[in-house]
Amino acid sequence: MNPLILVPVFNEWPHLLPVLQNLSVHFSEILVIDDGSDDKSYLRLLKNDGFEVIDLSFNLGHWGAIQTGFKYALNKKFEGVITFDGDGQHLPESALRLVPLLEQGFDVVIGKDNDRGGWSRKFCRGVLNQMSGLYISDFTSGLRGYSRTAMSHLIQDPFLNLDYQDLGVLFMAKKKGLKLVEVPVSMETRVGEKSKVFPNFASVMRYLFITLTFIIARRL
Amino acid sequence: MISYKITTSILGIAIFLIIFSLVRRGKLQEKYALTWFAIGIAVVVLGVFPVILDKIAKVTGVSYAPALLFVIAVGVLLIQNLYLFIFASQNEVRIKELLQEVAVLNKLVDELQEERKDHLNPSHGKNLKDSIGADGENKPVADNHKPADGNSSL
Repeated sequence: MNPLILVPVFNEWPHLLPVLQNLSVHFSEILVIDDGSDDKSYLRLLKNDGFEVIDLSFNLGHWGAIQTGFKYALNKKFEGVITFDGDGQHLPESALRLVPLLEQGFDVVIGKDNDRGGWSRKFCRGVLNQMSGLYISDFTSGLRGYSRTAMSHLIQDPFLNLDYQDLGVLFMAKKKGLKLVEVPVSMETRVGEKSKVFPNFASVMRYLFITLTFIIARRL
Repeated sequence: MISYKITTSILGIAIFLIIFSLVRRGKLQEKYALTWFAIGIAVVVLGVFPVILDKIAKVTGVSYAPALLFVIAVGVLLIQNLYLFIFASQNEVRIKELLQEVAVLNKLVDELQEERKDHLNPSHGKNLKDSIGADGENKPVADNHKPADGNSSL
């Protein structure tokens, strides 16, 4: 299988080029999705370097950008995609480890790193894991593989309401009967600013509230 | 001192006129003007005939009639507000989906144009825009991009 690598980017292009160059050593098909960055001039540089680019005219959020990649991949008949953060957190070698599991027929493959994140993230994970009954230990991981079947489900209506590629997506995916699996991988510490999902305490509480509402409403 | 009936009538008529002018200038769609006209009518009617309110209060067991007015007013505004929130959520999803499709289509069009540039010889490059969408040698390329299954929304 030759998967398409989706790299959603939002205002983090200074770190992007080395990441993409590392990726292109291992993968031939890479798609950068610009999620409405303030300065779009870097896109031309990427195109000149031969990278494929999709340009969203305003910010859709991490998950919205990834869904755009799904739609493109479905059109171009890719058998699978791997989502990869552009901030240097993920290693191309880790992405390689997801490919055999997609080939084995799993629909959603999550690259997990349990040592990642501070107390707030661990607290969130603990609470939400119990509530959701998912038992996926690293559900905020942005390193994921999706099969073609998974993609065609994940671009449809209930998934358009979601903001992050996180628990909500996995929860709904499981409900749809998709096969989920986790693979342990190691991750680098972030080069860029802060976590997209958890930049500060208020956002942690907001995230917790939104996700709890989501889980409770969908489980009942 | 003027009668309270005049005050409420003026209030009701003012609501009417504001809504009407908003509709006329195209700031408010007719279908949304309906509820606001209804509110205007209710203000005038209840202002001129407060007896109606007293009767409703008696039937529903509310001892202080003006309190009933507030309950009704708050209720109506709450429902309208909730409707707007639902409307906003719906629109957000629609806009998101549209932007996703447009971005993907842009990308596919770019790729098609690149492919055509490679196929045509440079002297015919000027005719590129005229020939897009026409049948002929472009067709097999276009068919390649059609999703084979019904799952894709594009």
